[in-house]
Amino acid sequence: MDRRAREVVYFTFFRACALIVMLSLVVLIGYIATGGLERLSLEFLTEMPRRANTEGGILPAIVGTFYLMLIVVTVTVPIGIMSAIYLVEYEQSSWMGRVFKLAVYNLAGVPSIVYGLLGLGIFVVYLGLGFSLMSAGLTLSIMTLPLMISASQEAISAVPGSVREASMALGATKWQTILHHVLPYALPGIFTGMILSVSRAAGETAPLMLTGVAMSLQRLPDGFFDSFMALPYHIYYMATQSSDLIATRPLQYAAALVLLLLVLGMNIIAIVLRKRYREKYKW
Amino acid sequence: MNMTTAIHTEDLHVFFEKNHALKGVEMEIEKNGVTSVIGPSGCGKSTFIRCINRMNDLIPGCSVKGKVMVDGQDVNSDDADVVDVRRRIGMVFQKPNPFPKSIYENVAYAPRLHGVLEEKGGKIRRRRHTKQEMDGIVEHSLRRAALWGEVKDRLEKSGTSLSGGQQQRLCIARTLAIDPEIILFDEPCSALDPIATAKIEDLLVDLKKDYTVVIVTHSMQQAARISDRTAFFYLGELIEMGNTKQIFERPREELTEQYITGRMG
Repeated sequence: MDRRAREVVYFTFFRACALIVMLSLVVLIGYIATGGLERLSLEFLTEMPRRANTEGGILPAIVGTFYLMLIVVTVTVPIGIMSAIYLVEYEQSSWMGRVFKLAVYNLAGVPSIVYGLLGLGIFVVYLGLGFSLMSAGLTLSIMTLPLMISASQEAISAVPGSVREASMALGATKWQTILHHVLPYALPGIFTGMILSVSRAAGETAPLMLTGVAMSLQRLPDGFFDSFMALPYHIYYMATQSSDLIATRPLQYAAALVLLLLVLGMNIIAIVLRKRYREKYKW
Repeated sequence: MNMTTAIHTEDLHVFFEKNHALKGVEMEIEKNGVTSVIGPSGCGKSTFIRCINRMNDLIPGCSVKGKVMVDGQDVNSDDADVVDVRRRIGMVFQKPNPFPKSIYENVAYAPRLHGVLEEKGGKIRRRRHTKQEMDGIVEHSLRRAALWGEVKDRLEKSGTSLSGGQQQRLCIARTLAIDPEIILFDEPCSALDPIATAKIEDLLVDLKKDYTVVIVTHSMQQAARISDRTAFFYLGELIEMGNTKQIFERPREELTEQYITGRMG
């Protein structure tokens, strides 16, 4: 085979691999949309479930997942960013920094059910938060922290050292340099990390089962210390434990579609924000 | 020789971990002159000027011993206020490094950082610049850096949208905005084309009326063209320093002559 033909083969091969990714997404969305669109309605989104989830809407599950994301954002984002600043700006090459980074990588690999057990032990039992939104939210926060830290770390490291030098040479302190330059320029990457973290938390099921998710509630959670419903667990429950698996299938599709749209919607917000910041700071 | 000293170093040593990068440099740098620092790569010339505004502090594992006297104050001592040192001693780097913000913001950054010091009722207070004052500083600095005419209609454009030479002049304007006494240039033209280089060189010569200029350069022609005095470094030591003419025409040291004539480095 001559050289040019080989180029074509490689190119086709790479393109095929990329197409597989595209195709998976299209098939996934199409499959879930065709199954679920017919049941998707305003009532479905705004009503309480009835008769053990076989009728009515999924409002409590949507609200529950929304609250979980809220907790994750408020806990994970600040802690994640600050840890990343510490690791990159202050402990880049020290012994301490290396140990911290190793810890972060290892935490990222821990299975979610183990985080669930940790949450059960620490938040539910030891801190006495009970089976509640707060326990589940904090568990998810800890679980997503490594992701948030790695993404922020990468974004912060990508800010060129020459900008830091320029700022410090003008008499800015290290903190001013971080606040005025490093963080703003790293924001697009940090946004990405934030969305990845929150999306992951929104779709997680296993930790919730150990920290307070309910099968079915006819009411919205009464504050952060109440039990709650959540979309992924609702889908799992409907697909495996429901009293009539076949008849409720459209409901399952519709719930999955809502979760998917929720996560996709967040990704779009992230992309818009990221783009805006990229345009604000042009290299 | 009739000169006033701006910077005076005594027994200056720099270590990177175990590596002895600068070995007991004693140097006097004259006020309102251009001083070139030349020498082969790795001879410690950049390390030397980075001692003057404490930029070596940023390098992990780097330690600086000895005295760097500026205005009778040792800027290398532990009690020296690093922020104040860097406010008084500006620096322009090898690669133009404007902030990815507007041209205006690039110049306004440092003045905004430091504010205006005012005496009020016997107390020194710091306040923000008024919009008018800031506009004045930005215009003055850009004019001084010979960039005003080229950018006055697009101050809101990003500093990174300028050409390399313009970016470097923006970096000079940014440094001038806080009115330092000394400006250090670390190979400021090595990333620029000859025309942009010529503009920067003219600017440097012009700046010495108001500032003390120290420039590290790998171009001997550049040193010969613009500097009043030249210092030659080799392997971390100051081999010879004198009037530029003398260094290039009648070097006293064998090493200097070898370097100047291209037999080394």
